[in-house]
Amino acid sequence: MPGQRIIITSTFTDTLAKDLELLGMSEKDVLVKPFRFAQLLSLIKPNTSRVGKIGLTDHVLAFYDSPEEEMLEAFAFIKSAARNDETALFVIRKDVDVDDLKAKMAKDGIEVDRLLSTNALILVRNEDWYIPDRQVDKKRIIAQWYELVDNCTGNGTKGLKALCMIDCFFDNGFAEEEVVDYELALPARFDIPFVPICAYRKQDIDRLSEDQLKQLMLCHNHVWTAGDS
Amino acid sequence: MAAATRTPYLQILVMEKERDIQTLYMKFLESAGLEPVIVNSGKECLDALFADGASFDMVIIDTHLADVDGISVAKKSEKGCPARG
Repeated sequence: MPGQRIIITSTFTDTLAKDLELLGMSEKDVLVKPFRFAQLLSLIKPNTSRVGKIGLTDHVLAFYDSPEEEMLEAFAFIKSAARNDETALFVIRKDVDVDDLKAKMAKDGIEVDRLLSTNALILVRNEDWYIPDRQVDKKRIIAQWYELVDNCTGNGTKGLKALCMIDCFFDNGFAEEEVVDYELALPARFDIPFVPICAYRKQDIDRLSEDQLKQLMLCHNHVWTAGDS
Repeated sequence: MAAATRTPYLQILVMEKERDIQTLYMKFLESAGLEPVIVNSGKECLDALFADGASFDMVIIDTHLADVDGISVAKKSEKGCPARG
């Protein structure tokens, strides 16, 4: 199945080679009995995403070196929402092709059509979400978050997971202070069932002063740097 | 920073016939913060894999089972095929 890892345990491997090849697997996917559980952990660890370590009410600041890395994390986040009966919101940048995105999600094992049809997954452009009138109105944006979380819980889900591509602030000529000011208006930890990942591209982070970056880090209770997943 | 709330994320299905080893899997994986589903046979494994709403990130399959060999279960899982046998 897409996105599923198979590990074979066996007392011998001599006759497994052909089967492994047919399955597109290698000896790295085999644990020879008797094995130590530390060996099992080493196989599980690459699959254990940091998104599994956060929960509703956390507020995450994440830096990404590449769109691919960002997408992989977004997909893991959406899958975790689906499993936990939470709504997932994916706030995407303007150059993301929605059909291509949906195809990639499906390939990664996300039941994208079903989730979209039941509003368990919501896709929205970041410009439409944050700056529909081309102004950073932090009160409006925050009220919008609270309203959506209310709607989610009212519709029977446990809360809202949101991965938010933040680049629209930077690409539309707003001063860096404006995005920092908006982030500072949010709590480092929420008192509602809501967990956003505020996803920043490396080039946008590089535009921030040291003081602005420090402020950003202090208003989130988790900070994920690129490549430490 | 506040401590993160632990949420089950990685869904693991373990197919292992030996009861003692099942217990070890359960203890070990739970201590790692995971919630494994453990099954005794190939049939149970396929039933779990293709149950409505099932979505396992990882399947650990023992090759030596009484009812079916683990490789054939792995092949069915890989194909996403609901056929049994």
